[in-house]
Amino acid sequence: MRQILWGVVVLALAGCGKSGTAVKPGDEGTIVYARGADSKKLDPQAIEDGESVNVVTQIFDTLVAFEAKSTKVEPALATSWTAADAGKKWTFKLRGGVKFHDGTACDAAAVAANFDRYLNASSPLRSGLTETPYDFLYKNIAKVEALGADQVVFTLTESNATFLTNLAMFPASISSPAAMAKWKESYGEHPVGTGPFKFVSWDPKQKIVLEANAEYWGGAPKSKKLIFAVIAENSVRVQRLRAGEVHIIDGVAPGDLDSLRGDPACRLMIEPGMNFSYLAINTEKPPFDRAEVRQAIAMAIDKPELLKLAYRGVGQTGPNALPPTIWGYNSDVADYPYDPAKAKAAITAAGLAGKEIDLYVMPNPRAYVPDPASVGAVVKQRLEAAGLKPRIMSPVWEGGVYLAELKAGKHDIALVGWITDNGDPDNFLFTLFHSSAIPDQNYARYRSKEFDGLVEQAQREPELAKRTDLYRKAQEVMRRDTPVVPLAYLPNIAATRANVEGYTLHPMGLVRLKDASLKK
Amino acid sequence: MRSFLLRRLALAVPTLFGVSFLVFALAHVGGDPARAIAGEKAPAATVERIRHEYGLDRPVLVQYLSYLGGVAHGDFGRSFQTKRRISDDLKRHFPATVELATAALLLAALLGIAAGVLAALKPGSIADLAVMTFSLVGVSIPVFFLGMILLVVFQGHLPGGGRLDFMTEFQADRTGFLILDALLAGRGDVAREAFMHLILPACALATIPLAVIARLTRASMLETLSSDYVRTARAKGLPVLAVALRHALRNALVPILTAVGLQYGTLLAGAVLTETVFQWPGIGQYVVASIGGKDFVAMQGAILVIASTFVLVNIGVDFLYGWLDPRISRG
Repeated sequence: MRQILWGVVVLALAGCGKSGTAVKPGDEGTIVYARGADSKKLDPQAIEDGESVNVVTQIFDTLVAFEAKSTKVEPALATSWTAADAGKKWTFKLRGGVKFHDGTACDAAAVAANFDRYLNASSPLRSGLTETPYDFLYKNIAKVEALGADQVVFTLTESNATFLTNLAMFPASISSPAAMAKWKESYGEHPVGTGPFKFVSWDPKQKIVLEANAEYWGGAPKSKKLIFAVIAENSVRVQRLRAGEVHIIDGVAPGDLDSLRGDPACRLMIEPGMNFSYLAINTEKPPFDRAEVRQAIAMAIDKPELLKLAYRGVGQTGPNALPPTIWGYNSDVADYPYDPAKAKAAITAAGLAGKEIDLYVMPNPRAYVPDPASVGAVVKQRLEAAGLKPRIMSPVWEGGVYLAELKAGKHDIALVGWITDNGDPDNFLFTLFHSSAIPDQNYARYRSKEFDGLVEQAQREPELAKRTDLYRKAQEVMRRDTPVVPLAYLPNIAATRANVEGYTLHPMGLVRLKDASLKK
Repeated sequence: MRSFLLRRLALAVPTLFGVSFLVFALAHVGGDPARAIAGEKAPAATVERIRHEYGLDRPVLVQYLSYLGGVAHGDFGRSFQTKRRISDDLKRHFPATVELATAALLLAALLGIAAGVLAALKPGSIADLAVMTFSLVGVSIPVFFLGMILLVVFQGHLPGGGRLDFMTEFQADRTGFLILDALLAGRGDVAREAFMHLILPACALATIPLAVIARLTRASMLETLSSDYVRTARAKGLPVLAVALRHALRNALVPILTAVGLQYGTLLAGAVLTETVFQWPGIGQYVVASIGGKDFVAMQGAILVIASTFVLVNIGVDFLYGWLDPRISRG
């Protein structure tokens, strides 16, 4: 009771003080990273949302990892690897002495148990793992076996050039089998890995707290503690960075760039990204089953104008269905020039003047298109100038409604986009445009034997130079067939307090905070 | 009085059934929860598997009855998105909203009644004009906009969001009411911090009810002040303030109390925008996030709790009515 009375007195005096936003003793080594939404789960095999991935990346390691500034892979939990049997058998040698945060050993048996849980529905560790959104990338793994304590052998159903990069992705993170067995369906709230930070606590919709793993095999992190805070509103997040309440923010909207540029206490980071937004033309729906009509659409769009008006001049345009930051990008492909007269002539010649078409535009921003409504408005205007009568359709994005309508082929033209999963051209050209991706991600419903053959061959081909050639050809074929009109490639944007050191943006958008610290 | 209360409680049961059915039905309109759970990139076969595993392919009525069976046992199920127990989530988020709504209501009731009385004492005066103007602005200003203004104005002086500073480690695990839990744990520093965090969101949330209460108090007081018994009291030479506070206000309070009670229900359910601007982890934000993720099990649980609270608050108001004016409960 006395405590309560004392507390009331303290509260009564509270109005006099300054806010508690200043750094308190003991908090000097803490970095606060603010994002727009909370993580959903921290079980690497069960997630796909960026907010979960960004936290998981700090807690876990993979066998191989992406280099700091590229999509090439380097050793991580595996120190070396060899391929045999025409790329169907891979043997990884594990780093010795690595322990999970719960003290158990990260050995070959643990690695094999992780992949067994991921790919085998009857695995004893499977309890509570119902969704594995990224397992399609690993379907070619037939079995994973431990060979002694420090070697792991992967057997593939067929050789696949993206196998190694897929192992560097978050779903292939290695969890402590003891922790997964202990927590079962709650494992996503109690993640245990080998990474630079250990999980401490989770206050839902508020923050996730991690602490440094001083025994990390790659050297101890520069900061002692890491807090992933949730601040839903973009403008509020910027405001609180400027007030010094948080140190790093992501999801900076184009409209906030100027205020951050003008603030010497903050630093804006803009680095090329690996995403693109595009118009998918439904190639199965007449008249868009004719290449010349699709080419007319491409010529009707003034891309530089679109970039300026609807993307606030941030990003770049280009002719290809993958961003120039991805190897294999064919810079010799010429974009269709903006030619409204020719576009109109082609539309008129095809007897389409005044034709009503359904233009699908998602109602809410995505990372690759921050202002879809403006993109829709500009595109609509240009298509009208070319003689068509577009009607904008915006079913809700949530619950997969928007994409479900595209998968059902209801659109004539649809605004969509893609962010790379693994930094490989295959993840754009095969995943989005191979005929086997109908009715999934192939929203253009593009079917071309020639194109299919090229990307299939590239997927099996182990040599980088040959793969590059095949992808360059595939982009030429796409340019000719024009199933899509690529609109913009956007950079990754983040902002930090000016005293944050050691934080860089990875082209794939990976958030790595091991070397981030606050300058004293 | 007892039969009056029992009657009101009995009426609450079909109301809550109706709410639960409506929410359940709405959750099944538009969108595909199985697709939301499986993720954007999952192939159609995975979506179908998940639909089956979660029992989403059963008839809607069967799903509804099995859900109600769970709720009757206190089991709201697990969230599709986070896999957390929804009852645990509600225990965390609901007290946060109650804390915020109560603070806002106290602020609104105290200031609103005071302002209303002040305005009614001298109608047409500058004070009256000021109160009326303020209340007009208060009713019209979007909470979201006001929240942003408060954030900018008080930047660096008052914390801009959340229930505690990001760096403070404290779990409100006794009652869920942070200030109370901090005091019970002997953490005066945390209680003070939690109080500071409550100021801006409570001010933002209080504007609309404050304005409504002020206007209503003024109107109600004006009516009472012109009644015969007040004139008699004044004629007997009682001071103006004594008449206003001791005699008129008590009678004017009946309609004001209704407004306060209804406002409390609205505050509990409608703090969504304030909760979003100030990152307040309340139930409104929880509902919005679950709608966004098509996590309709979570959404149902939260809306049921909000509806039950609304119904209970209204019963409480009816009860107070009877206490203030015994004629009502007999009628």
